[in-house]
Amino acid sequence: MAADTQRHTLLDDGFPPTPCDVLVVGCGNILRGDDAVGPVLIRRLWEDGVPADVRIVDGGTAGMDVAFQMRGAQRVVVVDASSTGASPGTVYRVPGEELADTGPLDGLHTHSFRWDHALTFARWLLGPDCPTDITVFLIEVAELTPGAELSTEVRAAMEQVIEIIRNEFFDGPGIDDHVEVTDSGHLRIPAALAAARFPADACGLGLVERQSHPELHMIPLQGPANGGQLLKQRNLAGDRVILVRETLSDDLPVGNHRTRWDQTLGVLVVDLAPRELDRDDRQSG
Amino acid sequence: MTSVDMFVSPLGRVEGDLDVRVTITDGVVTSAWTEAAMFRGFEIILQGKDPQAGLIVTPRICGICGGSHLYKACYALDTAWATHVPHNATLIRNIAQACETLQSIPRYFYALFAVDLVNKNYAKSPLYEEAVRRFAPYVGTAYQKGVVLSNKPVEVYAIFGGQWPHSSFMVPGGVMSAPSLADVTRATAILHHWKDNWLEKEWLGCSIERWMEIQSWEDMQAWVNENESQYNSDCGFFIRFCLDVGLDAYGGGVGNYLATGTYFDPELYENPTVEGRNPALINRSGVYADGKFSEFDHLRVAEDVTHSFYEGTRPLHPWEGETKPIDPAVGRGQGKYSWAKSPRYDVPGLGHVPLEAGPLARRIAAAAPGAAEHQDSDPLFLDMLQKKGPSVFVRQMARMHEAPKYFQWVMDWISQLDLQGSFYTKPQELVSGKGFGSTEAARGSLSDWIVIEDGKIANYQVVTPTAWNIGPRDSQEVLGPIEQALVGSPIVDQDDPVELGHVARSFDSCLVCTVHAYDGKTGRQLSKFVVNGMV
Repeated sequence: MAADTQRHTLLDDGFPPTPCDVLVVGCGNILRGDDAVGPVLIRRLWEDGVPADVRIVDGGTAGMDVAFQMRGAQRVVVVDASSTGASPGTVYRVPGEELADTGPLDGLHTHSFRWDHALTFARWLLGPDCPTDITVFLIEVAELTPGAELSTEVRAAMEQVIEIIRNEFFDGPGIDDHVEVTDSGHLRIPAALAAARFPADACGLGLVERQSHPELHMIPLQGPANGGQLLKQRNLAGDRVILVRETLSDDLPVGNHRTRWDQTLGVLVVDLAPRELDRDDRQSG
Repeated sequence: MTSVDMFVSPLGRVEGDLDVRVTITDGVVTSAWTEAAMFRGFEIILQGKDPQAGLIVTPRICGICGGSHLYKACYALDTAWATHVPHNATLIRNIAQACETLQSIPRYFYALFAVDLVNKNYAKSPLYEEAVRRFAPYVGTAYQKGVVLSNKPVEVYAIFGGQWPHSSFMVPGGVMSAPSLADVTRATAILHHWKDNWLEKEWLGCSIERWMEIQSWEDMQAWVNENESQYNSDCGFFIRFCLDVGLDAYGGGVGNYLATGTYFDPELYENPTVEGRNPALINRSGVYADGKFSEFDHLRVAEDVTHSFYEGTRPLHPWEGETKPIDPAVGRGQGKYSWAKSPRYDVPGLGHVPLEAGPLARRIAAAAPGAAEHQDSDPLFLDMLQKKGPSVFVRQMARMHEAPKYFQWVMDWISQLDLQGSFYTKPQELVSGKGFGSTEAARGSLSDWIVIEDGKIANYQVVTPTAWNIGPRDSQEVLGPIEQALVGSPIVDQDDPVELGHVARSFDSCLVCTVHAYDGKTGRQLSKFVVNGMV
């Protein structure tokens, strides 16, 4: 039927859909206890940061709109709660072949849309543009008390699912999380990392001595007016540089260092441990 | 005489949260009971919380009207805290709220309402084949365009509000949004795409401007026959189909209407107050009962729980409202039958009566005399009400009429944005106060009443359009609006009472959206794919 092949073209308003390698959608109602697990997982991913080519979506209870969000995605991960009678916190991973046939279109209702309806609807809506690489995680609920927090079992299961998603799906070229200390005492920060963590191009610095090695803590500031250091642009790519000589010890840890985002402190932590290469050098020498 | 009790559950595609029981005598509905099968504990969740909790909690009440919930929750706080709202923020709030409704109009019409027009009961109509060609679910030509393009307006919501559904970007004192020129360009392009491809090309078959010239029922009939394009547009066809199968002959309801109004003039509502609300509205508020207009006064609203599963002895204004659930088994012994409360309005001279909320109520309010320069003044639906009486058809046309009207407003509001200007004024968070915020969700008046004491929520009550419309009988045994609308419906086939679906869906109640549905059956089939071995 000619009309059947034209649906996805109706959505073309002259702007291409935002492309992304992985789309993660969390579905559920945050007001109903463990039903919140999908949106809470999305919130966690957002707070911890995701690679630049990953899009995360709080699907809430809108249902049909999950299908519209899938436009432009290469791979899709859906996380939802389930209530099957299994032990609370049980994680179901629905294999792709099971998702090939999610049932008929009949009986859909905008007010009671479920993940499998969304996939069926997405195939109808997007036709040849519908992503084929789809994974669904379902987390068995313990309770659905209005207003309750996530139960312990479901929170633990959510952490498991986050681990799986990070390990298996966030494998693309994510944000380069390395920084470089130069022999002039400057710290070079890649453009994407700077943009993600220091949108106002300003940070405060602190050296924290750990037992094994020191850490440099970089605290995002709202602007240079609040004191701290200005992140200066050093090339057209948008890489940034700041002077760290005054903060670090005289024996500058020249070279590349890994960073991690500490959610609790709200700081970017630069791990100043001696690099692998240095250790190898010492052993061979 | 044959009398049958029918229990219709669910209403076609609703998964059991709204049950409708009707009695049919000689092929006509003689009485009806609407039973909301779910307890909604949102007011209880909010008690004792930070005053701003309503901005997070209420948009999650519904997966369809989250933006409307946010809009009124925000104004409830604006009035309680006596905030200042910059012009830009009022415009952005208006744009977002209207875009949510612009999405709902075609999505509801094609996916929920028009699919019933292909029911075999209408096979005798000469227009039946054409109805099937257009409206059959998933394959109908009009269904496909309408449902697919329905998403475009909420893409605009997401540009200004960060996400749709469930955004929390409206805050007391303004919006957390600072659109760029690129955002405005994109939003404009998306809305024009929606208008060009669905609203004008598919639905109207003419320009928005031509449609907006219609002032009366005669004008509308003349419009249908004016040319081929209008005669054969979805709108032209829908009008002809309704008249042919008699959708203009039943489903009238209580005939009394309530609109709390929405969209504010930026200058007139810079400092939102409860008292200053009515004159600042663009989409006017108003009550029309017993053929007379009166001004809307929120203090005249009260909720009756005589037939609802709650404790309570008298109707209470929401500021002193209570939500004390009781065991339904006990409640049934007391003649209670629904989890919905019955909102009633104390009409001067009439007492507490049920009022219908929704697009038809808004259109009637828009016809009241005395509109100010900035306010919607539109005589069309009062004319249709007086000449044809209320019905499923008139209610539907009222809803569809708002698509071109709101589109024009949104484009106007976008053009008024001052991108260099302010979008937020930090408010002073008062430790006590009372607030009232309200809007018109796609399906009708939606209001929050908040009482703040010691910096916390002492009382919070949400009255939804669904509650206005599906509420049960009150202490005077007066039927709720949908109950009343069902009475008198002719039922052609008792095994497939499509007429009940038309009536109930013409109100577009959204009960099911309060839940996230699970399917135990699907789950069991999946249990073999456990990955963490806890079973």
